[in-house]
Amino acid sequence: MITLKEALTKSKEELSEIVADLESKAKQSDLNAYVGFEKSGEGVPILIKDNIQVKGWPVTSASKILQGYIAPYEATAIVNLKKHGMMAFGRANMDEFAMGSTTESSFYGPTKNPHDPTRVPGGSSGGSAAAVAAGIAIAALGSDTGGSIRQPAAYCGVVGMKPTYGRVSRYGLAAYASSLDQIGPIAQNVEDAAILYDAIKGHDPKDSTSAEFEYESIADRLDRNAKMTIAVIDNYVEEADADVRNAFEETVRRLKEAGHRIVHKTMKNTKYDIATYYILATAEAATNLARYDGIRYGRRAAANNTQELFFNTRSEGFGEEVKRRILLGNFVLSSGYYDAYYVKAQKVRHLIRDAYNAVFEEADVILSPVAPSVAPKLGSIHDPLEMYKSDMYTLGVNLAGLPAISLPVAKNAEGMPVGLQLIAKAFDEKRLFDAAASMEKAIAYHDTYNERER
Amino acid sequence: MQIDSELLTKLETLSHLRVADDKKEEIMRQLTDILGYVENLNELDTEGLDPFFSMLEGGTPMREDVTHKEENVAREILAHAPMAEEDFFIVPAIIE
Amino acid sequence: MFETVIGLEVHVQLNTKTKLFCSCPTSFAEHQNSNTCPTCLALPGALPVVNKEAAIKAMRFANAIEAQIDEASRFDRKSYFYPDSPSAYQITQFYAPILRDGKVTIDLADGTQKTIRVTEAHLEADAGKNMHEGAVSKVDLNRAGTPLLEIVSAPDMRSADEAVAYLKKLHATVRYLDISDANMQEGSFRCDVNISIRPKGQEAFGTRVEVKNINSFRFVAQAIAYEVQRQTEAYEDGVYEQEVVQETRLFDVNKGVTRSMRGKEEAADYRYFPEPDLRPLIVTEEMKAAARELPELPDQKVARYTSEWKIKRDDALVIVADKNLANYFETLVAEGAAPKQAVTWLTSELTGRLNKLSKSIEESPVEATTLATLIKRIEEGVISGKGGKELLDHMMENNERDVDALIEKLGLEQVSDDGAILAMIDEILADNEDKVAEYKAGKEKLFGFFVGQVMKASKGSANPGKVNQLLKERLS
Repeated sequence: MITLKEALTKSKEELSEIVADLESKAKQSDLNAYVGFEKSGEGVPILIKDNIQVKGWPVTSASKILQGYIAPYEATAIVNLKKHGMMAFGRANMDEFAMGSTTESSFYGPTKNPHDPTRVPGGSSGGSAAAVAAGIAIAALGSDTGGSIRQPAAYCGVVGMKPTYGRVSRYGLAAYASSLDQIGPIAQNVEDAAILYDAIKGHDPKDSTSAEFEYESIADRLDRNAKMTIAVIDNYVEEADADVRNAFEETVRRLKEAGHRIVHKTMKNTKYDIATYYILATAEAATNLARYDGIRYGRRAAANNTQELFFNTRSEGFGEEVKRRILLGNFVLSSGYYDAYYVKAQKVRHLIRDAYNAVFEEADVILSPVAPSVAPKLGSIHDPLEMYKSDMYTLGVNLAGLPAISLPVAKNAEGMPVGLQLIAKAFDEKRLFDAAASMEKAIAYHDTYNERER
Repeated sequence: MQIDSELLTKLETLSHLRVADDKKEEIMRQLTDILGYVENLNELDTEGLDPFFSMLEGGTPMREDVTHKEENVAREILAHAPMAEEDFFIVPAIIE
Repeated sequence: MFETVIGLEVHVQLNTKTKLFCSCPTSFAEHQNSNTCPTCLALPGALPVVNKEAAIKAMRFANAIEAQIDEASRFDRKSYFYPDSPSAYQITQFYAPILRDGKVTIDLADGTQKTIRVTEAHLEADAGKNMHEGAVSKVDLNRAGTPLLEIVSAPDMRSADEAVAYLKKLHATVRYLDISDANMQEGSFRCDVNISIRPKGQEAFGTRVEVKNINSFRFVAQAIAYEVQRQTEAYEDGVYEQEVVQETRLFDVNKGVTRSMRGKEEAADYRYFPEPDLRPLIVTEEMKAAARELPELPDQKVARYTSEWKIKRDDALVIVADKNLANYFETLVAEGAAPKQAVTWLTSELTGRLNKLSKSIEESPVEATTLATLIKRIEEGVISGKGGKELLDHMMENNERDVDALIEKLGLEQVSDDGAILAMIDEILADNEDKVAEYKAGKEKLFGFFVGQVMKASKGSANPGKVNQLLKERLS
């Protein structure tokens, strides 16, 4: 698949050929990565996760309850994308309302992992990652609230990046957890990811949680030779399985060889990140999803009065995982429990952010696993709590609002990719991308695993 | 924290949705497990920490009081609304 | 035996041009759902952005009632489902409202004053409108997102009169500040009343009952009267615990009673938590400066009228109750009318005539400058008071505004010339020598007779003051 960088140099005619070719490949694919083939704008085609508003598209968050909704406005990230020589092509499958780690909760059915169709691509941006990995998308946009870009990128062997909270406007991203959501790039390599990140970032007055910063592009200043002090969190690595631990060790060795300095650190048990996340995210989600009632848009159930309208529409329209999180969210906000759960979690969030900051006093970036194993088999995780725990490495990053990038480092014996993530200080994307570029060079994943021609 | 059927019903009401009868037992069990897990936060000392957490520093940006109409938005939403008449959203009677 | 305790919550719709969290117009919309956008329609991905002017108007109110402004107030989500609430949560300020601890001074009927505390006031977004029509409801979201300032008083009022006085003062204040048009009929000034009773001397409050959404001062008084009676009777009948529960009741304007909304779900759990889509509302120096620009408020006007123009306090209170009345009055005085005359002509003569026509002072056919001229002509003696009234009647019905021309046209000019009047007096006295003798002998009542005769002879055009003065001289 042509890279984003290369595609941006193509002429209009060449691009329309590329789009036609992509469209035909995507339509033939049985991965179920695409749930729509709409087009908007002109330029290099970028696959868009089904929760980012593109004007005129049916943007459904892979949910039954939004069937019939047509977006009448455009997300700022899309507006920005279009200003950088790119167009929106196709909607990517995802977990319903971005709640999940496998894309199995989608109204449109699961997406398959291109490396092994019996396995999940990860979630919630499973469609985006699978399409890029399968060569049926040049690059894609996903969203990351608790790892939903980084984890599927790792499971599919591609690069996925979550910006610092506030870097990319959330205006037009169907909200899951307002203080955690960010739109980010999923791409074939680090440079492509940087290009796409540069294209979508920027302060937005329409988003009150958008950070103000001077715009400076990163992709054209990538320093693959940057030498960093990289912290590894020993107690984290210990909890991963053998595939991940081995890949981790090998990566550390290569990073040392490349001239980086490794420091060893420990952080608090990830169980606290998991707990904090599932309290705060569900609370925000419960209220963010309260607007889905079939009154103004979407799918309405039959009802004799408004009470029935609300209950029937939402009971029929939401999948089980979404219902579970809404119930949980309302529990932690409800009278009598608010202080013990919600407020407690908010306080712990300070501890989590402080813990990262402490590490960053001695290191430029942190190297960490993304998931405790390679992609699991479809239908293999039945227990929601087990699912939640698998997010252990990615959640803390969202709670602290930090930027992070996941890149493939190895494949296990069955050929399944293993990805690791780099985490940087807030607003330190330059260093993050430099470290990633340098790591990518040191690992030479594509050369090692012969992935270039697909 | 035990989620029993009374609490589940209360949560369903707050959430304005119902869990299918044949799924209720399972949901109660799952929610109980999850809550039991998240209660691990009680192991941490959070005395004196700010209950208010802000991702970004500074105040909320403010807008000048200048009108900006987006008439196409309403038109398109009404055109695709589940039930609209004369540009009203129609809902069945509200029981007071 | 019982003391009534009343607290009031007033929702004031702020008259900003745009809504609180989006740039949709708040102005009257010809068509339903036309003043909407992704934010107030609660579309997926929409986000709120705070209207600075709404915050400034709230801060002006704070300064007017000497309240403390929280320089970093915050917004919270208040969750409940209702078709007119598109996001199913209202963005309000529960934990950290923008202002606290203000006071409103009310004037009681006995001439004393009382301070009512304003516990807090906060910004929040209004809901849309539901219109019931048979088996359906029609939802219009034009109003959804309009800025409201909810003003919460302490339970300091002890009677319906005090409650109404407080409401009227608040009403006048927000209109003077020009932060709201406060039109009760149109719903831009809504009152929720909290009423409880307790045996006199008891410190603990009784059970508080809320009566929501009353849209006239008269109904407020009625609702309070009814509730006090209902609660008192319940107490006296020994069924207080059963009959008087903490609940929300509605006021039935036709029957003049309050009705329980029981039968609904139990008390809503609003699950307030900090709005994650917004950051704290940090007030800037620019905003503080803008909020310090206050017009002259009712209390200040009363002080000025009474000290500078020496008019009675009661009269001043009547005038300042309505901003337009106060403006009218001040124009009269600015145009040269004597303040005391201005009071009478405005509050008695003009207002009386306007009431008969069901017109407000803003709709007065006679403008202040015109009325000022009329008053001056009376002071100058050009016309009598009676003549002035005739002139005013004429102007109320006709479009003619040239006071002097009308005086001539209607023949209202008074004879004030000493010589002319003396001539008439001498003639009357000459014709009534016997009566003159009786008068000089002590029958003082005859003075009125002589005045009457002179007035008759002049066909009413003689300046009565002059007649009196000159007649006295002649008869002494």
